[in-house]
Amino acid sequence: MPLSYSQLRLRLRSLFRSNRVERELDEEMQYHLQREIDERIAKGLSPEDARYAALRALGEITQNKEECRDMRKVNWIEDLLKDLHYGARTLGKNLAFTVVAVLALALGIGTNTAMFSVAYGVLARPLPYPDADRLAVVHLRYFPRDFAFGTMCIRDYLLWKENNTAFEEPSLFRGNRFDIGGNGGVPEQVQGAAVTAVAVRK
Amino acid sequence: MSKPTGLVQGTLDLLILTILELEPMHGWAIAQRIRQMSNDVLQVGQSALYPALHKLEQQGWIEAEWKVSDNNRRAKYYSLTRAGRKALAQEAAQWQRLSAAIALIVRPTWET
Repeated sequence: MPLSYSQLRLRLRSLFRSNRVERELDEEMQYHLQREIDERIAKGLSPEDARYAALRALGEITQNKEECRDMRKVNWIEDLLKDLHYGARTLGKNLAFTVVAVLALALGIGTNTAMFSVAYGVLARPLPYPDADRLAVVHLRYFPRDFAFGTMCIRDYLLWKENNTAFEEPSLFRGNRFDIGGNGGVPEQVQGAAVTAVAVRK
Repeated sequence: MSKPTGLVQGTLDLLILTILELEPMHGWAIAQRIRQMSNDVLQVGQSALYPALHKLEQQGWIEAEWKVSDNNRRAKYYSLTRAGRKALAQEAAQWQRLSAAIALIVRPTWET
C-alpha cells in the first residue's frame, strides 16, 4: 500500500521530531494515568492510594510506551542508528581488536580489488574500438589433434573472403613484437600486430 | 484493567474505529466507552489500547489532535479519517459475516 501524504508526514515527524513525539507519548500516558487516579479519588480513595492503585492497574508503563514506539514504522532506523553507535563505542573501547579487524579488512579488500582489476583488464574490459563487440577472431582448427593453427595461407584467406556472408569486413592479422628506440632514449619492446588495411576503422 | 481475555485479534481495532465514528475522543475515554458499551465485559488496558491507537494512526485510519479535554488538561484526541471510515465499513461487514457464521455453528445448548 503506498503511503499517503499524512502517513509520510507522521513517519518524518517520528524521525526528525523524535523528542517532540516522545514528549507527546509521555504526555498521553500521563493523561491516562491522571484520569485513572482521578477516577479512584472520586470513588473515595486517598490521593496516594489512588495513585498506587492506578499505577498497579496500568502495568509497566515503559513497556506500554515501547509497544507504541514499535508502531511508528521508523523504529528500525532509530534502532539501526543506536546499534551503529553501540558498535562504534564497543570498538573504541577495544582498540587492539579494532586495529586487527581493520587491518584484516583492509588487506582483504585490497587483495580483492587488485585481483579483480587484473581479471577485469584481462577478461572483461571491452576492446578500445567502436562496436568492439562485433569483432571476432576466426581460427582454422586442425581436427585430428584439435588445435588452432596459428597461421593461414593467403589462398585460404582469399577463398574465405570471397565466400564470406557472415562478416562485414574480413581481414588478416598477425601478432608481433616491435622494438622502439632512437633519439638516445632507452629502446623498448612493445606488443603490436600487422593487419591488412581494412581491419581498423575509426 | 487488563487486556480483554480472548478478544479476537484485530477486534480491538474494530471497536476503536466504531467508537471514534461517533466523535473524536482521547484514549482514556475510548477505553471507558468500550467498557460502558459492553456492560463492563470488555476492559481494555493501556497496554493494549495505545499500541492499537498508534498503529491505526500510522495506518492512516485515524488522526490525532491535541485539544483541551473536559477536565481542562491537554489530551490527544483521535478521530476517523476518510480511509478510516472506509476501513470501518469493511471491517464491520466482515465482522457481521464472521459472527453470523460462528453463531450458525455455536448454538445455545437448549436448541440442540
